[in-house]
Amino acid sequence: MSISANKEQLQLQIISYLYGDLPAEDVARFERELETNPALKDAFEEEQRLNSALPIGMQPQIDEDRLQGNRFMLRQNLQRENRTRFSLKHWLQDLFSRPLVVAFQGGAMAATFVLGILLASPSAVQTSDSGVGQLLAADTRAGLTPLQMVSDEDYEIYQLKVNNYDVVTGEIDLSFSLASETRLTGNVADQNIYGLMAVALQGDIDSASRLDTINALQPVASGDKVYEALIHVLTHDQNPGVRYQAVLSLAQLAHQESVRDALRYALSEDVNQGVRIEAFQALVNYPDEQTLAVFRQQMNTDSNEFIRAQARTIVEASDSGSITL
Amino acid sequence: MLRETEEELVRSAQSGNIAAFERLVRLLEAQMLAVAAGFAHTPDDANDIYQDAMLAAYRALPKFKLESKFSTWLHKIVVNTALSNRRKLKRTWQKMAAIQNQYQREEKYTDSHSPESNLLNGELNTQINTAMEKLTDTERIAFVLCHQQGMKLREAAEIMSCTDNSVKVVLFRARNKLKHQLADYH
Repeated sequence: MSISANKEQLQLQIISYLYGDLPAEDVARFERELETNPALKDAFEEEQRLNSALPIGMQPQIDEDRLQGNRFMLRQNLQRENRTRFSLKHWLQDLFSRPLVVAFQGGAMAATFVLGILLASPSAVQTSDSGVGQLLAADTRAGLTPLQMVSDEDYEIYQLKVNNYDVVTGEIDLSFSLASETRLTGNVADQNIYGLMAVALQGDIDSASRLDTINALQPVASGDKVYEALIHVLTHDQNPGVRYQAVLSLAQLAHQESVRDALRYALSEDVNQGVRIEAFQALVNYPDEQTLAVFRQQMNTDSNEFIRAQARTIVEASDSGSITL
Repeated sequence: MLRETEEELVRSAQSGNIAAFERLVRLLEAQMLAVAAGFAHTPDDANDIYQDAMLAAYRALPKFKLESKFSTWLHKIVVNTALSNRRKLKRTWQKMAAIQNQYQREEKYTDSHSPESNLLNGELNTQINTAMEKLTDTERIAFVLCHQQGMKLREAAEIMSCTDNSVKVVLFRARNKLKHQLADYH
């Protein structure tokens, strides 16, 4: 390779060198030439000046909060995508393209599913008030044993664990979970429905469902059960998107002391800036002593510039007597 | 525990297994988001591009023949999505990001070789964002892939579906524009 005197050619050769596309012998030759050819040396130094301002490998920072938020969104999008993608035709095609045993298992599952619908249909698909009433009355069926509840097909066992078993005496300690699938149709303002949703929020439902539930509950967020559930979500949920939805709903209820407790907790403990900012903005209108104590702490320690600056302004205004508690 | 190979994960994801797809993407997510951020005007836009690209990849996965590396294929999708997709999603993450970004409307640049190092000072950071916006789409792709992501010209050419030489020429133009824009800083 000969180094051309043409500046543009020199630059192109430098680019090949910088972005690592030259064979080893050309790299060695380039570096030798660099020491002896002043035009090449000048052009190389000019390129290196840009690299000193903007080094190779310098890129936008992607922090953990942002990754976590995107992971959550991606899961929701994929779940939505999968729900819309299901087609019986494709499922059957896929089933018959598999080995016989798998196809047989799939067929058996489908048959069980259809049989289940046929057997359960009179009681499982409920609507309106009667459905809610029957569902909520389930916990009053104290006279029934778990086996009877399973036998009458309202419930099924989906998880069973042997905690302890004595082989000599036969004593056994079991944990199991009962599940039944019931469909409810009604208005979210119905106390029975929002009460059920509030209880579900504190149970083991998936993130996407929790988010949908909180969204639906927003118009009736004033119910005690609902705000207790939202507080539970804000202080316990592992998913930042779900906590964010919860803090948005709770912001409207910041006049209640128990809600402010949860907001103060979120402001000082939540790792997500979006959640902390919402909690902070909800608390700004209620600067009581406990809230000011948290602001005083956050104005020095919060990683978010906005919270630090705003908290300092409020604390200083309070200290100077410009605002009264 | 047995470690799944990329091929096993791809095959599983091709049959609709979301968890397998998430595991595949997890290995590349920071890199793909950084690529998306290299094309976007704001962090919101970058998140949009990333989400749309991953969904497009999931949809197109059954057609992926394992003839190229999964990462190269995914890069191509992110780049194409970045160029064609400008729509805004109104979802939770975007609202969350919007609040955060009232106070940081631009990407913050850092050295990927030493992530613990300090971010660039604010003024230079803004100048880089402004200078990047002066690049054409193709110049931006070449610069993001080769300079920010540290790819070889050959790898960038595969993603951009052109020759090594074309990438080199585009990169040359991009560097000249950036030199001019950032003259005060070097």
